[in-house]
Amino acid sequence: MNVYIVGEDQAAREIIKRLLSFCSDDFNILMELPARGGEIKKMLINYNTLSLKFPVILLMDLDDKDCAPVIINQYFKGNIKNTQFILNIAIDEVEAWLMADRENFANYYRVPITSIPEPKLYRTIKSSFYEMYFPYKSSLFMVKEIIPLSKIKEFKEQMIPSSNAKKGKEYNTALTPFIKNHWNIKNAMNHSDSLYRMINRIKKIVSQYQTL
Amino acid sequence: MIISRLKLYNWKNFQNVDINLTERNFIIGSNASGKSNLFDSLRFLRDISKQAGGLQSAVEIRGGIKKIRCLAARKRSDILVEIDLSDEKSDELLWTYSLNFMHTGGGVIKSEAKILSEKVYDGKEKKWITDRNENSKEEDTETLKYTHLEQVTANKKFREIQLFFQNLEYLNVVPQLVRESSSYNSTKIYEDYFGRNFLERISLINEKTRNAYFRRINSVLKLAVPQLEELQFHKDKMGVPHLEAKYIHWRAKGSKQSEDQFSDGTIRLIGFLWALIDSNGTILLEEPEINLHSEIVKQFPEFISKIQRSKKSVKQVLISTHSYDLLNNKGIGTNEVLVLENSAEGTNVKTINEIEQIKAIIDSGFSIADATIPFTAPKEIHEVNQLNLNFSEQ
Repeated sequence: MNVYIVGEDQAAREIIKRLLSFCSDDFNILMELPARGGEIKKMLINYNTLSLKFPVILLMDLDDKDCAPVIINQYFKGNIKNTQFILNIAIDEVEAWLMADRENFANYYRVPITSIPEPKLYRTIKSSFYEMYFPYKSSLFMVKEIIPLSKIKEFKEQMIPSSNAKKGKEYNTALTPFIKNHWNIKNAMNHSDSLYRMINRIKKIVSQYQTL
Repeated sequence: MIISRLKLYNWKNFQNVDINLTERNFIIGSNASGKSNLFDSLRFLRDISKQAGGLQSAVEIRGGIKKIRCLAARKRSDILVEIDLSDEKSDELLWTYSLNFMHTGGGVIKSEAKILSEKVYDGKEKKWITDRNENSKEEDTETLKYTHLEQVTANKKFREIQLFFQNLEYLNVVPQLVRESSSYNSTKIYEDYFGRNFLERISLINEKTRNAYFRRINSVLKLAVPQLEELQFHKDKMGVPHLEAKYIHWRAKGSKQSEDQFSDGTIRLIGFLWALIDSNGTILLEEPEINLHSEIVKQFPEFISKIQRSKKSVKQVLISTHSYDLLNNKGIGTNEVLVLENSAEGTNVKTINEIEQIKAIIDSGFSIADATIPFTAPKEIHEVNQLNLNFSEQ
């Protein structure tokens, strides 16, 4: 099954790839988009059109000032989202999904498990679910509060930002092996409802294709 | 007249390609996909056509047939280069030139190229006017060493093709070589691949024309490199040609700089502009974006089109590029882009309309850059940061 994947950075794209292979063996990634980052939200309508041809799986983070429905209204301009377009605008960043697998994350990066916040139980009228909660941006929290506690010097050197950089010098390099080889999606799903819903959306596309 | 079609068989990494070209063409592909080799097939015809050129020398410059022949070739060991020349406005086919040759000799016998067939089709007369092949009675081992294209008596009826290729311009200025004055004249006998003789080429043009060229270049430089003014040409006491410009700084008059002090980007830009201004036919530009600021590169597609429109002699431009900024121009048509794609059977050349996953992206409103850069990127390139390079072992 041919799909395009869209992610802001390498980590996001690796996460999509892991999620796809978790859901099915049949995915074939046609291309990893965009060619340049930063413009994803402005191009949402184009990705929507593109998904008419082949499914598009998109993962983007929200800036602090935005909220998902506002973005969708602003950039979809009244158009209807195609069923083949999996648009995942993460309330918190995708890093939260990685840390949702608390045990493996702590084990791999050699940090105390207690440094990773425990998932919070949320209750709504219809249901209750667990979601990771971070006092501030999950990726920042990770490199400021969690990784500095690592027993492995290399991770600290790779991931902790110097001066005003937003990420560590080898942030993607340090994150990728965990995403690819150590991240237990089932475990993470139990702690993060947003990840659980993302998986379900991908599975839905798979079943649509299987029934075709 | 432009090259409207290029057909290659066994040429370097192209085992079998047949492509259509237009007035402006963007050639894209990953590293080592063969962009330069594609250009080289046209430069090969130029090397045959130029004065003191010819087939044997064109083959020799390239290190012999073995270096030209496609490594992916299975059965046939012959090479074919065929082009159509058409009128750029009416699309009318004017000429087809086809050259098929192979290696002969080896051991104690001199290695040479042997012509298997050479054919010329006259589009106006609508017939083949030359059709030589190795079985013709008139041919022998000696005549089959020389193309009719390179011989002025034999190409009388199709001299236009020879002149066309003599005028083919290829410029890939390497700033380091332009600066290196000790290498001056050292490559005179061969084609000037990397602009070593760039300054000498400038010196060969008559002064009035040269001044007019420099006026145009200066007007562009003023915008692109504002701290440089009054680019000029002069020869030193030894007769070696130089470029000179005024470098503006806090002193009221600034100070003079010559090309050995120019930045890489400045030299590349001057070379690029010179090629466009001096061109008289088809021009091949190899990665013009190198060393240049992205905002300058962004202007290239429109700038080239503008020059083509206003200077009628720049009939055709072929540009190889990796640049997102260059390809992000919305005015680039899908028929102007050729995508080189590696395969086990050599490199394929496809148009955007032939690659479904690229076409779908462009049809959805994205630019050529958005669709093609991810396609031509090496699939596993991100893995480079996961490599264990074992520096501690040394």
